[in-house]
Amino acid sequence: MEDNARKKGSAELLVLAQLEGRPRHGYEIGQEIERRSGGAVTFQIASLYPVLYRLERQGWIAGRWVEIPGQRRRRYYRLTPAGRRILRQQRRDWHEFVGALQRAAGVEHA
Amino acid sequence: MPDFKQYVRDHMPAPGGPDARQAEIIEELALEFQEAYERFLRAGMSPDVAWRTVQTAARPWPRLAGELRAALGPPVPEPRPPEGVRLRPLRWIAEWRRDGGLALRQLRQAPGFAVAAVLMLALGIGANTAVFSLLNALMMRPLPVLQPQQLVFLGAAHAEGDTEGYPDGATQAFSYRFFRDFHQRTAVFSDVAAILSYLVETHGRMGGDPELVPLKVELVSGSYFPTLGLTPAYGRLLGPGDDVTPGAHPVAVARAGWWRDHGGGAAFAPRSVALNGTVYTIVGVAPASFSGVTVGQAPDLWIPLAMQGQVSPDRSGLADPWYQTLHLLARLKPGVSISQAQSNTDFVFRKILIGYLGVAPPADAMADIQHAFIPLVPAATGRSRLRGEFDQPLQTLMFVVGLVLLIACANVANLLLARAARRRREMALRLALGATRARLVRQLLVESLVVSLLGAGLGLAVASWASRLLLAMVSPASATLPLVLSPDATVLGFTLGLAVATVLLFGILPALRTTAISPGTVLKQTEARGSESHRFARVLVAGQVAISVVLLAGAALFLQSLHRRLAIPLGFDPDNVLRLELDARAAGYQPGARLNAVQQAIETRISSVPGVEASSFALSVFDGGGWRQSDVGPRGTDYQLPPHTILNIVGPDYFAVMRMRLIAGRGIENGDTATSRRVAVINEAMARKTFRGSALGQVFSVGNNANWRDVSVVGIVSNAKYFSPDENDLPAAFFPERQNQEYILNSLVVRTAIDPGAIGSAIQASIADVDPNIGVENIRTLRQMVGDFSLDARLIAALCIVFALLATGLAAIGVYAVMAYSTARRGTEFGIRMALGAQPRDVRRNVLGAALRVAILGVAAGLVLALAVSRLVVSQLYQVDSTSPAALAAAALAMVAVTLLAAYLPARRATRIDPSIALRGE
Repeated sequence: MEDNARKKGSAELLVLAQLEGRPRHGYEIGQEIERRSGGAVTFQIASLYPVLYRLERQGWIAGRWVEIPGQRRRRYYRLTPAGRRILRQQRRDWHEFVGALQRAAGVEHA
Repeated sequence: MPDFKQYVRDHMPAPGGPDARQAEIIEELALEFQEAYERFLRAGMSPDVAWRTVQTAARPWPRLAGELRAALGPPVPEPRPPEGVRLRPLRWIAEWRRDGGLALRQLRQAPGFAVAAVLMLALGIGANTAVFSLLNALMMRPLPVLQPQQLVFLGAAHAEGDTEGYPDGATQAFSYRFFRDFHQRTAVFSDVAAILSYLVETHGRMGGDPELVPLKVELVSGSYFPTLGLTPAYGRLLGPGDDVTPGAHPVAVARAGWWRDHGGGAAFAPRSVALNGTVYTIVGVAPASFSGVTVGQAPDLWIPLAMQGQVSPDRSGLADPWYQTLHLLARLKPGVSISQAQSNTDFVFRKILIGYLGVAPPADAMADIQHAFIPLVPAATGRSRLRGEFDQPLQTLMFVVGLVLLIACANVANLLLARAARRRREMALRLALGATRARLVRQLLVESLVVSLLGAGLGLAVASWASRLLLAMVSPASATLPLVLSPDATVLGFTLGLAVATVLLFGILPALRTTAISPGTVLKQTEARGSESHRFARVLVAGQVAISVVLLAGAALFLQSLHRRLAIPLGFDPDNVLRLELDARAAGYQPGARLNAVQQAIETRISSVPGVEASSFALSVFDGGGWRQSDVGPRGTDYQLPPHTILNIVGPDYFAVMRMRLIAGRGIENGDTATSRRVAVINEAMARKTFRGSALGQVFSVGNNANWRDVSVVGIVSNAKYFSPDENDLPAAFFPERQNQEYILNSLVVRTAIDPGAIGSAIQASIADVDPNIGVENIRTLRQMVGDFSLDARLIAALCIVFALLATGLAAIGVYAVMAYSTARRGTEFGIRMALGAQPRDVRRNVLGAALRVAILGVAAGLVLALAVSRLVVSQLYQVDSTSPAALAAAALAMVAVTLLAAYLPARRATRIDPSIALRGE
């Protein structure tokens, strides 16, 4: 259960982090995670949407349809102030978690 | 391509939630699959493989569906916002929304009222928006350029043509040399552009096409596009480097619309166009929204001024500092005020001019230049000759449609009042249940607003159609004026403003009336306070009648004026005459004997076309028929005889074509050649004014023109109109084509025995037989040309009639509605009267009498109003008194008749009331 929560939490953190700079649409978020992680983290097609909808329901992100002439209309998501707070908090949590792992596994800082 | 939405729909179990949300989720997921699919295609997969890959790389459906369900979950309950000041706006919005919803429901329950009200407002608002759209396009729309408010014209930039005199007073035409010097020395403008004051209308060939196409060319300086801050749609625009050495820059920029019409696609490739023997390369296309700085005029090509000598060889003087034919457009430097710019500009202007006079400037030139100045004119909305022409008619129309809207508002107000009577119980009930009156008034106003916004929305549609129709009506017969009519923010703002204003006009009083009740009284009884509302309704109807009288009187005046104008004797017969404009220069001709021979050949050739009676070249025909010169006089005089004399050069058959009557002597003949005695035919006015009667055989000269020295008068023709139908009798002289070979005669007139429209192509074919390279354009009947002069008069007469009828119709509906309502309410009364022995005639007289009182009140007010506004139209009437009793009387009588007619139906119905039924209702 704890593990599941972690996994869920990591996806949430990743999505929130992608929206920090500017609003993005769903497909773009997945692409951006893949690009920033150097291809190490990929998601199955469509698997990010449950995360997005959950975050939206919690009020951490907000989606809005945007129509750009000559393009398809897309739903863009942006961070809400609450989402920004959560992102900061989750980053801190992850830092501690990873730090604890490193200490426990005896991995030294580079 | 697979149907992604269907794919998602097929696989996704309903996650729950509202349908709209579900549709959004399906759309979003489908987009995701499509993006992935397209990425695989880009990576080189075949469609089949790409689609299979998408399906396998996707989150398995059962899991995804479960996750979606969990993510969407049961709806989170909205936290109730605590009551408090902070949330006021939110509550306010929510209440307005609720009122809006309520209003829509109310309207759905009364569809008859809703449809009638919306339609009437749509007509009223639509007519206003249509006229305003035209006004906006002509007067207010800013040029589609960078920061148009920084642009100024140097001078009025109205006069077209060239002048060689020294500037004196307000100056608007400048030489090319002055432009270059000024551009360099001005301290207040960041950039200055020069535009040739007139559009060059010529012919050219696209690419290697054999076909000659008409071309409108605007000659501009290389700084033109940079000054305007434009970026090209394709290719590049002209720059300073394209306007350096005279004759060395054969480049052109095309207007986007023209480029599209001539086969220019999205893939831009430079094309060539041959013009007057020079081949130009079209290096780019201007932005689609841009068609020059002259509203209502669209050049096809912009060509550098350095090419003036090539484009129009006979009207060019790039190096001459006194050949002034350019308009200047400049951009103010940021932070420079218009008054700073003004004083610096005048200073630099005079300094440069004085520099041109050399070391020993003539005193008179110095004096002139000291008086010369350049008024700076804001150029944000460009310039337009049409403004002077249509400014007044459009303002009159704006006034007229404003009145129509008022009448429509009065009708809607009446409908609301009638509805108010029906809703008094509802209102009373709501008041009794604790609603405040303010709350109810707001509710009623929101209903009115909804009606008015619906009307405005429909009105926009009406306007888009009507403004196009208007534009077609004001355009000359040959081509629709290029004006941008699509609604912009100004037009939309205007329409929205109208919608709100109409609510205030028609909504407020009924809303106050409807709610001015005490709950107790109304809940108990059904009739109360009705008569007061009814009085108000009658005042409204009287107002409608009054406005209709004003509009009918106006229509009568304009119609009368138009009649007078059309009845003016022209002195020539405009029927069955075709006027063509020939461009011989496009075929490479220069003035001289060769061209003269070709002109004669064309005349001969056309005369043999079946159906043609006669044809003749002329320097100009009507509509600018000749040019005026003041130094015309008999031999031995000082040549300063006012007034100006009209001079024209014509072929032998000109008088026959125009049917100008020969009064004495002979006309122009084939024998009047370059080697024979110089002759002229003059008109009666010249015979009288210049020669005091016996003119035949007299000799006169025109200034110091060698060609027209000692010209003998061989004939006298009747007077005619040469420029416009409302000019006075002007003196005129006609010189023979063959004795004046240094002019290119552009106009050709042909008298036909049959419908001239049917013969145009045969005439063109015979011109092509003589020389296929001669351009032919502006083929019009003389009747059309005469008609163009009364264009604004006809337009305003036609529209005033249309709107006056519309207004009268609306007023009649108002009268009918009010009378019908009143007779229905008085049904019991009439029943009793008839039971007591009144005849149907008496009842009818009673109802019609009431209508007549309204009519008389309205007509009296209308006459006063009409007299009050009559001076607004004085300048637009031709030989008609703006307080013409005939027009006023006609309008008054018509309106009384209409009122009685509208009241007749309700009156007749009142007589059919069965007394027993009416009494039972009591």
